[in-house]
Amino acid sequence: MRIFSLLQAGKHATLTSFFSPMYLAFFLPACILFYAVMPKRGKKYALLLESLGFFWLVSGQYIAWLLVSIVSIWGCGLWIGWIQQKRDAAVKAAEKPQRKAIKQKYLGYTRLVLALAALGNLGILLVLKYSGFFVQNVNSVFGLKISVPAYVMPIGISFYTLQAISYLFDVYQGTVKADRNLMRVALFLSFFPQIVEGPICRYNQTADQLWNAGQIRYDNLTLGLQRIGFGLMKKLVVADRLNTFVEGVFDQYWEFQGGVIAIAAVCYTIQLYMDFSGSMDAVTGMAQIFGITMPENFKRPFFSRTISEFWTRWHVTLGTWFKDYIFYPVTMSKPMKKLTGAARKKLGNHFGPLVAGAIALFCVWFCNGVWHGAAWSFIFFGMYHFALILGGSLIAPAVKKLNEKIGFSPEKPFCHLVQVLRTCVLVVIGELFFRAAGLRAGMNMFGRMVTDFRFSSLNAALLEALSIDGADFLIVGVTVLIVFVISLLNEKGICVRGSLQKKPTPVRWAVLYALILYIIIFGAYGVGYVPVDPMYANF
Amino acid sequence: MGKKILSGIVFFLILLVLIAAASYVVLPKNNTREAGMLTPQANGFLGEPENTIDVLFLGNSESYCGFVPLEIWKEQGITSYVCGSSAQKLYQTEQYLRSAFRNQSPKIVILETLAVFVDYGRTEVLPDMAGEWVPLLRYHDRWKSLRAEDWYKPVRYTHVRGDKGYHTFREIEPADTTDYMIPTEEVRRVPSKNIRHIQNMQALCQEHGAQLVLVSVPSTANWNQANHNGIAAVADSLGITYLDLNLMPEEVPIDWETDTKDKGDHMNITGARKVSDFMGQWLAETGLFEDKRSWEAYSQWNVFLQEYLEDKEVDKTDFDK
Repeated sequence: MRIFSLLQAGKHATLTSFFSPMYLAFFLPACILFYAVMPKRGKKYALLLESLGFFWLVSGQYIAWLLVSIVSIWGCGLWIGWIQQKRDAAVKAAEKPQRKAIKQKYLGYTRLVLALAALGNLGILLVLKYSGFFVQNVNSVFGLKISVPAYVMPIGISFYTLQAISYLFDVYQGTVKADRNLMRVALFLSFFPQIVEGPICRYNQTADQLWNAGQIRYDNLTLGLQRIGFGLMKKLVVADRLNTFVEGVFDQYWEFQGGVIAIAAVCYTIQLYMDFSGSMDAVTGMAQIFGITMPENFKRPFFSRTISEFWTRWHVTLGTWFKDYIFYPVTMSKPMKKLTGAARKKLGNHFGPLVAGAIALFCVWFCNGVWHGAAWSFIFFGMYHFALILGGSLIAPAVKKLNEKIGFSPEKPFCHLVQVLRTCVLVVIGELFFRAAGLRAGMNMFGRMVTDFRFSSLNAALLEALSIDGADFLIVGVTVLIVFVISLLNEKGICVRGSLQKKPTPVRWAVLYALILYIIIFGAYGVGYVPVDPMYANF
Repeated sequence: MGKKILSGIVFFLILLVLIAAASYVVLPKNNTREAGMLTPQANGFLGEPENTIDVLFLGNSESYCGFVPLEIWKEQGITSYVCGSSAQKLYQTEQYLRSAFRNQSPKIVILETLAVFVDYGRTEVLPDMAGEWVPLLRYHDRWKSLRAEDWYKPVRYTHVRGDKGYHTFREIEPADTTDYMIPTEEVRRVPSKNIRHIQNMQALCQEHGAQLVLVSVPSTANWNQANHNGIAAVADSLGITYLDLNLMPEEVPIDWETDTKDKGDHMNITGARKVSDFMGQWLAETGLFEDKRSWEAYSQWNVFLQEYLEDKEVDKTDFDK
């Protein structure tokens, strides 16, 4: 116990924020320094030690859950690999007609191990995260009084569990080889910058990079720090500054007119984007310092023309995870293939495949909603996007005909803009339900927006009560404009960071000084501000 | 590589210069809220003429609710200032004391003891300490209210507060005294970092020829015998004088029906007067102070006293509670 208290296990919840002074001023520099002074062979162990140490400092004894996941996927991965080896040997030794039966036999074994390991890991997540919600609903439906469990979740469990399952699937599908090295699997699952909020990496994206991480290079260090700075600007200047307004309106929405609620919903969408993408900038920047390239989680989502496109640009790694491990396995399963074949005959080539696709899409969006949290509002959020995407596919032929009839060409800049704005509006409505304190609150807020779309109560007194003023909105607006211009340039294929690197030193330095001073002066921190936890760390 | 390191050093040196320049701009140029000063009541001592404060009170809300400098002035002619702020932690108290010794030389420094039990985390201290060294971090939010003069005007603290850091509360909410100061051997532990702060403050006082005294203002809601025992043990081990007014009902006759503003949590004006009358008398009895009521240089104190006696609530809107 004495050692536990000395190491302050679980006493550093503030470290979950990449932008807390403790993290930026002490933890990260200490990690970089420790990593830098380690000899090349020891660097991977330094990263692993830092990662497990980070988890220990934040979650204390709950590190046991992470260790269970690490050991279970490592062991079961090897088990699946061993079965596959035996299968290959047996197939090789067998006569051709018997090979199919042998493959089927071994496929059953591998599926059993995969199911065991995946459900085991998922089971931990389900029990810790959803049992309370489940029992609550059972109680209310059947009028029971079962005590509602409230477990403490270790940090990042929703993220690392998906990574764990992806590794098992990849081994099962043969896209990666089962790793004999427990430490490499541990590092893949626990790498400290990404464990809090993702991105949800695949084994073949980061495991080897992490294991073979080399010397810290000057370019990587400066570029990584720049990226962290950009994330810091998004988080501190915009997301945290909007927090009091968003919180004030969402927590007591009944006191506000529909127009004010609509502004709060827009502000929340901006806040969530700036918070989450800012954190991802920090993660990517930190990884870059160690020479590791992380998959991008955001690809300028607010330039999307449809909701489906939006989800290929927003929280990309979660979207691709659901696509690869839920959507495709469901649509490619035998019953679904049969269904598609039958539906195609009856409904034609457009609507036929949509039947199986709709079932798979429903699974994806139900899981997406539930993954975000154990509440009906999150399930509604998932179903809302399911309905929009499916609806979009269903009416696509009719819309195409209509467009041709009225001369609306989606490629024209104006039409493009209309589509982008329409997508933004739909996203904001979804985020309103996502942020609302429950489904009923979301419905009431939406109702107010529709029936009472007025802004007359939005005055200086109201803003003062919400601890925000015109100057705050002005600085938020300026920063959003900066991010927008950079995104627009990126969208046009101009890499702003790359271009900046090529500029003469005085220009580069001037930009960096401006960024640093901008964050220090306009950041929402210090006296009068309450630090805001990273929003996705709660999922 | 050497060139890159040199370039990194130059980059950071220029950055430091820029931060220092920006710090100068945002730094409040006077010790008033209008000028941007945070917790102006606790920083009010900055505006007092040099070496004019005899006694400095430090602590959290118990201090600015319990000690009335003008009452002490009225009765004893001793000057004092309450450098108290809401939920003040001892690391902040130590900062205030260091700051006070730069232009004042109080002979007695009184620390109200409730703050001694308040622990704090490193995460709290870090931004605060950083703000002490880099004013831009503490006052960055002043971008909203910067005036042209902020860019060139020198820092000059000139505002002399009429309340001397005390805040008048007239509300009355009687206290329940059922569990108040029941004798016990139990000793409440003082966080070790706070003992270090007390030691530091004691050393600072010695260095400046002052004496540190610990005082517990009466409070049924916050004080008990275990707290007393904890502070008494610390005071005893460090050789610091300790006065627990909770155990002195005859000298400080608090009526818990009328003398508290919030059910025994803090003193109201009548309770604070009783506390201050006792403290004034105790201070006078130390023989360290001269009665300055008739001194020309201190005539402004009599002006403020008049306002206090007429219940004029000077500086009330400028007070962070």
